[in-house]
This record gives sequence, structure tokens and C-alpha cells, in this order.
Amino acid sequence: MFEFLSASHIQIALVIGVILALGASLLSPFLVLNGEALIADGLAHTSFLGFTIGIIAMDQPIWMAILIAILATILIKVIINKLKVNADSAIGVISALSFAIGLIIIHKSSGFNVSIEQIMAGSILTTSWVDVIFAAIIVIVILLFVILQYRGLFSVVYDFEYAEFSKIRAKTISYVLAILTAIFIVIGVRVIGTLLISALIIFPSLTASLLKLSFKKTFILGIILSIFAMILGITLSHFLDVPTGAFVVVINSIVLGSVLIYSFIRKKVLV
Amino acid sequence: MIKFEDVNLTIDNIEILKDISFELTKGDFIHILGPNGGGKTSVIKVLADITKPTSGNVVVKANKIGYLPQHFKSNKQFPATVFEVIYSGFDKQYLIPKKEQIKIIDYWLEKMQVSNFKYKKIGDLSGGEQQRIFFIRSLVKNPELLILDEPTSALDPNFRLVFYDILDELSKSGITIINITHDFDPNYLSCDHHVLFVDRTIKFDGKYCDYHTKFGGEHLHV
Repeated sequence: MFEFLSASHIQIALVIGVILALGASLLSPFLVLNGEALIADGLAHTSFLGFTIGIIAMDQPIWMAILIAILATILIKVIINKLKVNADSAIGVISALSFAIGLIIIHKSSGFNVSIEQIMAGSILTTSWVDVIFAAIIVIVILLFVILQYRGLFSVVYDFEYAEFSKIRAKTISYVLAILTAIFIVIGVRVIGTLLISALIIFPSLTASLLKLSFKKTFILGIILSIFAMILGITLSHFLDVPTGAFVVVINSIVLGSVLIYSFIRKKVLV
Repeated sequence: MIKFEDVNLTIDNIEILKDISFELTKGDFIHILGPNGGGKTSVIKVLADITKPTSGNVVVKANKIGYLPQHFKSNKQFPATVFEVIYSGFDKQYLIPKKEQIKIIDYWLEKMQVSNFKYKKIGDLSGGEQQRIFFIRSLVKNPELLILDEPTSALDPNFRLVFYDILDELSKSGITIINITHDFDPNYLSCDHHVLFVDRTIKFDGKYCDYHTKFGGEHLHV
């Protein structure tokens, strides 16, 4: 039954899947609970512009994608903070504009032989150990940032005004979080595609917060559920012969649905 | 400890503060009064270095500042317990809270009559209960300066008396307190309390009794 584990592409898929699930669930509470659940989707579309320019201009388009995503996330923050526009609108405007510019560039470039689907879809089963190393480095940086700035991150997400008064360097923390998110999303898009990276950010906190636990327990449960869904999704997709990324999203949705039903029943029983 | 000298603040061509000057020494207990939109919150934002003044000098000699915001979070879905919210008030936090920290939290929960909420979800509490929790959060770090922005707006009248007694105790222990409030009732404010009436400029700076003598009931309903 476990023979499939001997295939190197499955091994890499499982390792990078778990790494990305961990990274996404570390970021998840500080984005989703801060009303920025769509940031992953927005930055993924923004990275399309970066990859497009990168493919035309250089050998390693990922660096251009990271640069564009960082600039976009800073711009989104500035729009939210200075123009007092809500997060969803700011993310929507910047991602739509980036995607549009990317399409225009492709249309005007002769000899652009990479499809949009290739840029945006990614494939967890065709990743290399280099991708694993890239992903591991950014996830370790995110892990260290969350551990060292846990108090600041909690205060920034829960009560930004209080964080500012408490000399927590709220704005710095907020911008560092945004930049790490941008880098993580670009690496995620390249490896597993837009759909899955967005789902990995949204599901952990959304699912765990339904159980009305403490912040710390919600955080830890989000990590566990996300890694569980990733391993189960990759494994079952292999046996069912269905697209892996899409199936991981389906498993996450089933976990969300199960938790929703459980919390509904628990509420009824307690009442 | 705190000195404002001719502080002016203009944002988008709107004059928010004009020639604000006042001084506080350690242990002072000052009430900042004034109408809505009069610039009370702007004074403390300048004081806490969140907003830069357009001109003037501000000197603040306090490392630890406790703060109770005016608009507390009402996101009922946020997954945090009362304990977690209060614990976020400590300067140093650990994976497992220290015994001394838990003692301090328990002491204030008892004093603010909210001990039974310790492990409840913060979003499940009423506005007044949340206000007490956020007050505790502002205190646990043992601040030198305590800034309270309308701390009693959601408290019932009986608990307001208890609350002002607690503030008096804190003031006597040497903590400097800045209290932005609409409470003009003599039941809450003592004769010797320092009052600053701000309506863009400082309209009054002196003792609460002198304020009464000077203005009578004219500004009682702000």
C-alpha cells in the first residue's frame, strides 16, 4: 500500500506540501483574522505580472515575481492605511491591475511561449529539491518571525491602536508580515499554483476558529489540520488519479464542513 | 514628566490642535475634558508619538505606557480568551506564563470583579465587561504612565465609582494618569483633580473645583 512512497516525485510532493502547509498555517491567523483572507489570491495574481516580466527579461523569473509581489503588498498596505480603503477593495484593485498589465504584456510580446496556465497553475508533482530548499528557507524565516514576534503579531491583529500605543512597532511588524507573505505566495504559486496557495492560507484559521478555542489553540489546530489535509490529499489523489492540488483543496473543504457540522451539533447540545 | 510646548497639529488643512501647552509631573492625575472632535484623542496620540505635531515640542519621560483605547474591538468572532488579551499587555511573554504574571492577572480580575470571565472568549463579553478587561491589560505591565481614552463609556454608574476609586489608588502609588472623559459628575471627580479642557486650544487648565467656579454649569454637558 505504501509502495507509492518510494516514487521520488511523491516524496518531494509530500515534503514540500507539508512545508508549504506549515508556512501557510503560520501566516493564516494573522491574515485571515485581520480581514486579509484574500491577500494570497491577490498576490498570486500580482505574481503573474512579475513572472511575465521575468520570463521576458531574465533567466530566473521568480526574482522579478518576488520583487513585484513585495511592491504590490506595500502598495496595498499604503492604500489601506493612507486612503482608508478596506483591505478587500485594495487587494482587488491591485491584483486586477497587475493581472491586466500582465495580459497586455503577453499580448504585445512576440514569441512568448509560456501559457497563463503554466504560470498560474503550478504542479506539486513536478517540483524539484531546489524548490523544496527555497520553500524551507522562507518557512523557517516565517517560523522564526512568528515565534519572536508572537506578542506583537497578536496585538497588531487584535487591536492595532493598542499595539501602536504600546511601542510594539506595530507598523514595522505589519510590513514585515506583508513582505514575508508576498515572498511565500510567489514561491507557493510557482510550486503548487494560485488555487492551492490561496486555499492553504484561508482554510487553517477559518476551520480552527469555528471551534471557538483560544487564539493559541486555534493557531496550533490550524497547523495540524492543514498538514493533515495536505498529506491525505496528496495520498488519496495518487490512488484516485485526480489532480493533486485541486484534491487537497477538496479535502480542506471536507475538513471545514466536518468541523462546521460538529460545532453546530455541539452548540445545539449545549443549548 | 510630560511637557507640551506650543504644540500645533494640522491635518489636511484642518487645524486639530492649536498652541497646546501643559505640564505634568510624576503621579499627576489629569482629566482631559472637551467636546467630541475637540482634539482630546489627538493630544494623547501626539503624546504617544503616534502622530507627529506640525510644530511645537513634546517631552515624555516614561518608558512604560499603559493604554486603554476608546474604541475597543467588537469582532465577536476573534478567537481569543480574556486571559490571552490581558496577557498581551505584558512587555515580556513566555510560552507558558510565569506564576507572577498569572498572580497579577488574577489580582486585577478580582479587583475589577470579572474573575469568572478568565477563560471566556473576549467576544462573548458585553461592552462594559470588555472595557474592564482592556483596563486590566493596560495595567499588568505596571506602567509609569496610564492613558485612558473614555474608560467609563460602557460602565454602569455603580461600577464607575469603584473604577474612580481604583484610579485614585493608582495615582497615589505614583502612576501618572491621563483620563479622557465626559464624566463631569462631582461623584467621580475630586476637587483637587487636575482638569484640562481642550477644544482645539486649551480653554482651561487647573483644579476641578476652580473649573466649576469659573464655568459653573456651562460646560457640564460635553
